Amino acid sequence: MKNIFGSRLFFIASFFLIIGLFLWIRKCVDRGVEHITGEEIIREGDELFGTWASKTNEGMLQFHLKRDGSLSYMLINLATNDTNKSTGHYSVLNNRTASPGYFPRICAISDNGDTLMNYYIQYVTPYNSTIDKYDRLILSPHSMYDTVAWKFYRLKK
Amino acid sequence: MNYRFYFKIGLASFLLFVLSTSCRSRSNEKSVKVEDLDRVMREEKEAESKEPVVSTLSVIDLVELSNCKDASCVQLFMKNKDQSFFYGKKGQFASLNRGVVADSSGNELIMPFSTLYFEVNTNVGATWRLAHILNKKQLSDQLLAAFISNGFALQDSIRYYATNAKCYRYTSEKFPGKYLYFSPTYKPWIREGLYQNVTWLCYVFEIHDIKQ
Repeated sequence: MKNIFGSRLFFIASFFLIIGLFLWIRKCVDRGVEHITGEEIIREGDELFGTWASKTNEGMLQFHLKRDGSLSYMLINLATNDTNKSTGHYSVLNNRTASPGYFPRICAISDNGDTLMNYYIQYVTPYNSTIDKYDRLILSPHSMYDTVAWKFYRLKK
Repeated sequence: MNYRFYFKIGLASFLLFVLSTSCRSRSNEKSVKVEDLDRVMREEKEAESKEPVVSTLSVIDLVELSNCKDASCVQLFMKNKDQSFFYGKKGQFASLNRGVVADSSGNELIMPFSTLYFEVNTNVGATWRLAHILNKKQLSDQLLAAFISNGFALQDSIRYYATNAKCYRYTSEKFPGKYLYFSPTYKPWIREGLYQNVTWLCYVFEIHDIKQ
């Protein structure tokens, strides 16, 4: 009988096994770190998670999209220093069957049932982007190219 | 014995590798400070390119462009205008100057004030066309006034197939053989262009080079 440990198939199988093991351990470590620090670790496909913020002269808006689908939302009025905080949940609707020209949409609803966000995601900095210095998220009420949009920033450590 | 030793070394380095890549992950701030956000927004504003110089092409630009009969000629000409126009995709330049344009139902849209389209279809029999499309009436009035001050006078009006609208033809003694086709329309470039469903009135300026 031929020794299976010396066969090419064994090497290929062990190669994929090691990669799978690596990804699994990395995921476990990531979740552990997230659990301890309470901050999301951004990997491929996780581009939306984390704290996004934007500011005008009047106020500042900050929301934290968590992995479990919940969010915290904070609106600060800079003139009066009033802060409104709310929590809720969000979902990303990625229905591209209607038209290929439509962007995915983010819907956020507070625990009281108020709609916090219902916007198209025009842009989010791709994972491992070397062009963007900061992560950016552009939300728009329209799906049309080049219309009104709001830019949010995620600051890296 | 040796086998076990190498196995342990391999396992330890593998785990170290996993831990090191985990530490290198891109975590983010739990909450954002106003000062940090201000710094980021200021840096981004500084990194942005300078204000565009013009919103539309000039009369002389359009007359010179009318000598072009292929895409490479237009691209070469527009290379000098890169502070005011950006190359969207093949056949489309858009003005970097943007603003609010109200459509026919009163919706306010933010878009480039003008675009320049040209034919990229090089199939045999395709007609060459180059059009400067203005999205704002004030800018259109200004450009038309500039054409008139350059000696262009209204000659006649026709039903223009390319814009599916009434088109006014202007000629000038200063520029023999050049015909300005001016046509306000909702179909500036049928089934093509940056905006396919146009709901606002566009002002199309074309110069046709017709040598007698």
